[in-house]
Amino acid sequence: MSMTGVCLKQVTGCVSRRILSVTRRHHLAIQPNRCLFFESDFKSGYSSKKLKRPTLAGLKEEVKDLGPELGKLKQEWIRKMRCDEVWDQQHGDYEVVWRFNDKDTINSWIVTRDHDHDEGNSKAEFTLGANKKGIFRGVLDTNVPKDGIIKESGFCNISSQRHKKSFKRDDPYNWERYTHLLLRVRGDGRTYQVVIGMHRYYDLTWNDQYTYPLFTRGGPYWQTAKIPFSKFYLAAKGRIQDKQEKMQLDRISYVGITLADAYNGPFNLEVDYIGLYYDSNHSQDFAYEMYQVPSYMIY
Amino acid sequence: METSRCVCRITTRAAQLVRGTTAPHRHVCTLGRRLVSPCVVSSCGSRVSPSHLRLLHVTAPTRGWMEARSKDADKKEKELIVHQETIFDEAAKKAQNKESFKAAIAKYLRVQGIYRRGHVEFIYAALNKMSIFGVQKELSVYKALIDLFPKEKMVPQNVWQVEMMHYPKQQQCCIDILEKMEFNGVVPDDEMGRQLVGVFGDKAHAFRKYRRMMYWMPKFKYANPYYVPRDVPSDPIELAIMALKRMAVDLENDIIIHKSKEYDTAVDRTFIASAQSPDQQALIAGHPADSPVYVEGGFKVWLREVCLTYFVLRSEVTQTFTTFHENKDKEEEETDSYLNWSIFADDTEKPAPMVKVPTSHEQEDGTILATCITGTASKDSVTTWVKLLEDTNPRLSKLPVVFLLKTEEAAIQTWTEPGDKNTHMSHGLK
Repeated sequence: MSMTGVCLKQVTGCVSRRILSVTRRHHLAIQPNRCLFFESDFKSGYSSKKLKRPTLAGLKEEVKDLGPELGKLKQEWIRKMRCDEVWDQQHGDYEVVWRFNDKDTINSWIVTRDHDHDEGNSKAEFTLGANKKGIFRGVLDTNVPKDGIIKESGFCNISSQRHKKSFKRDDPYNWERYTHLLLRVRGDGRTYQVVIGMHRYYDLTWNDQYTYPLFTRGGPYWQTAKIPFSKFYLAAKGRIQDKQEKMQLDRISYVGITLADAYNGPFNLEVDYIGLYYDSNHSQDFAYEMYQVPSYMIY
Repeated sequence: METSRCVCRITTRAAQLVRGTTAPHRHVCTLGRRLVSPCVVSSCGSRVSPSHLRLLHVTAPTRGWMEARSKDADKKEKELIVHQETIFDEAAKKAQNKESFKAAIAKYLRVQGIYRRGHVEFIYAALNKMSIFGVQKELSVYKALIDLFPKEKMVPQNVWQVEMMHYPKQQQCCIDILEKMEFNGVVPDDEMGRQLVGVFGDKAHAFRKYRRMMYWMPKFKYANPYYVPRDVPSDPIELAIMALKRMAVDLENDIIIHKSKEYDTAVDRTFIASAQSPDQQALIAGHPADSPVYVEGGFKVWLREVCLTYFVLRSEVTQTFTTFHENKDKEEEETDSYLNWSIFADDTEKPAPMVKVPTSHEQEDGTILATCITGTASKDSVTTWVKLLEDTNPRLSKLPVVFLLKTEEAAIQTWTEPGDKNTHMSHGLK
C-alpha cells in the first residue's frame, strides 16, 4: 500500500545504512521524465559504480585491453570479407545463440535480484548443472523491506550482456531472418518471463523491453518453448506501455529470463539453449490491436 | 508525446521490478478556487510528475503558507487508518469470511452513509485487511469498496481537471484498489466500469487504469498452455492428480491413487499418487537386468501458490535414444555438406538405416519410468510406491533399485502472504 509507512521523516530516523540507501533512492528517476529533460544515468540510478577519471592504473588496463580488442577487430573484418551471410532462409531453419553447456557461457550471463539494491530478500544463482545444462535457481521472497519506500518486492533475473563488438562498441543483434524465439527448458511449473532488451537511442527508450511469459510445465520432462516475436509486447520499467509497436528485430541488445510471479518459495529452471527459429507459415506481424484510440488515452 | 515511456501502466506480471520505488511526494495544486489537499502520489497512475510540481509550487520554504492542512496531518491520517482498521478487527473476531467483511463495510455505511467521511482511509484499511478475510480474489468485494466513493462529485468538468488528477487522493486510492485486483488476478467487468464512470468520469486516470486492465488481463487469462485454475483445490489428492497430469507428456499416462490402508506393511498412513503410461511399462519390461533403476527426488513442482514434491523412477539413457540421435546427427552432417548437394530433386533421397524412434520418456539425462506424489513425501512412502509398482511391472522386482532421495519434507507446501499466521503449512493423510 502506498499509504502505509511512506513518511521519509520516519525512515531517516533509523540506522545509518538505511539513511544512505534512502538518500540514494531519493535520487532515483523512477518517475518518467515528462518534460523531456535529459536523463543522465543510463541505468536510472541503479549503476553499481560511478565513472572514474582515468588514473594511471586505469590507463594501464586500457592498454592491456588493446591487444584482445584488436584481435576481435581482426576477426570481425575477416568475417566481413568472407561475405558468407546466409541469404536463403528456409522453413525450419534454426540457430542456437546461447547453449548453456559450459561455464564460460553461464558466467557471461548476469544474475540480478531485488536484494542487489536492498529492495528485497530474494536469492538466485545461475550455475552449470550435473548434466551440462544451465540451472537458474533460488528462493523468491516477496516480503517488502520496511524502509517505507519500496512498494512491492520479489524478482530474480538472468540476462545476457549487451552485445558488443570490438572496442566495446554496441552491436545489436539482427534477428530479422527469424520469426520465433526458441527456448529448451525444464521448469518447475512457475511462470517465468522472457525479456528482450532493445538497443534504442533516446533516453526515453533506454528501458524499452519486449516481454512475453514463459509458461513451464513442471516435472521431469524437457519442453521446447517456441514464442513468436510478434507476440512480445512493449514494456518499460516493468509497466506495459499504452502505445504498442512491433519489435525491431535488428535492434536487439540482450535477452533475459525473469521470475516475479509473486509466490514465495524456491524455484528451479534448467535452460539448455536459447535460439532462433524461422517458421515460413508464421505471417502474424504484431499480435496486439493497433486501432486508433482517443489522443488523451495515449502518451 | 509519442515516444515517452510512462510507468503508470499495468505491470508486466514478471518484469515487475520493484513497483513504485519513488519516495512519496507532496504536492499542492490550486485548481479554480479550491485548494486540493496534499496527497500521496505513488508512481502508478500519476500523469502529473509530482517532482516537477514540487519544484514549481511547493519548495520547502514556501510549503508553510501553501499548506492547507496542519503540519501533523500525516500523522493524523495514519491514525485515522489505524482507527478504521478496528472495524475490521472487530469483524474478524466474529468470522473471517466474505460475509463478515461486507458486514464491516455495511457498518461503515450505517454511520457515514451520507457524508462518507474518511472513506479513503477506510478503503486503505480494508485493502490492508483483505488477506485476513480471504477475500482478495473476490470481484464483488472490490465493487463494494468502489461503491464507497461519493458519486458524481468527483467527475472532472474540463481538460485541466482531467490532466491535473482531479481529486488526487481519491483517484490514487481507486488506482490502488485496481492494482490490488491486478496483483490478485481479478479481472474487472463492465459493471465496475459503469461504477467508475459514475464516480470519476470516463476520462479520469482511475478509469484509464481500468481500461488498460480490461485490455490486457483477459488476453493472458488463458494464455498458459499448462493451465492451472485460479483457485487451486485444497484436497491434497486432487492436487497430486492435477500436478501429475500437468507434468505428463504422454497422453496415455495413467494415474493410480493408493491409500495406505490397502498396503498393510506401510509405516506411513498416507496416499500415493502414481503415474505411469503403457510405454513406460514396456520400457521397464525391456530393461536390462544388470543396470540399476534410480528413485530420485524430491523435486518441486508448483501449481500457482502451492508447491508439491514429486519423485521419479529413472533409468540410464537407453540404447534406442543414443543410436537414434547418433544417426540423426550423421544425417544432418551429410545433408549440410556441399558435396552431397544435387541439382536434381529426386537424387536427394538416400537410403537410411532403420532406427527405432525413442519414446517421449527417453531423454539425454535418463529415461523416466514413472512419477509419483505421496502425501508425506517421506522415504517410507516412496519405498512403498516402488513396491506397489512391482504389481504392474513384475520386471521391477528383478532389477536393482537405487534410492537417491535428497530431502524428506512435507509434500504440499504453501507459502502464504506475509503477515499471515500460517507461513508454512503441510498436509498428510494421517
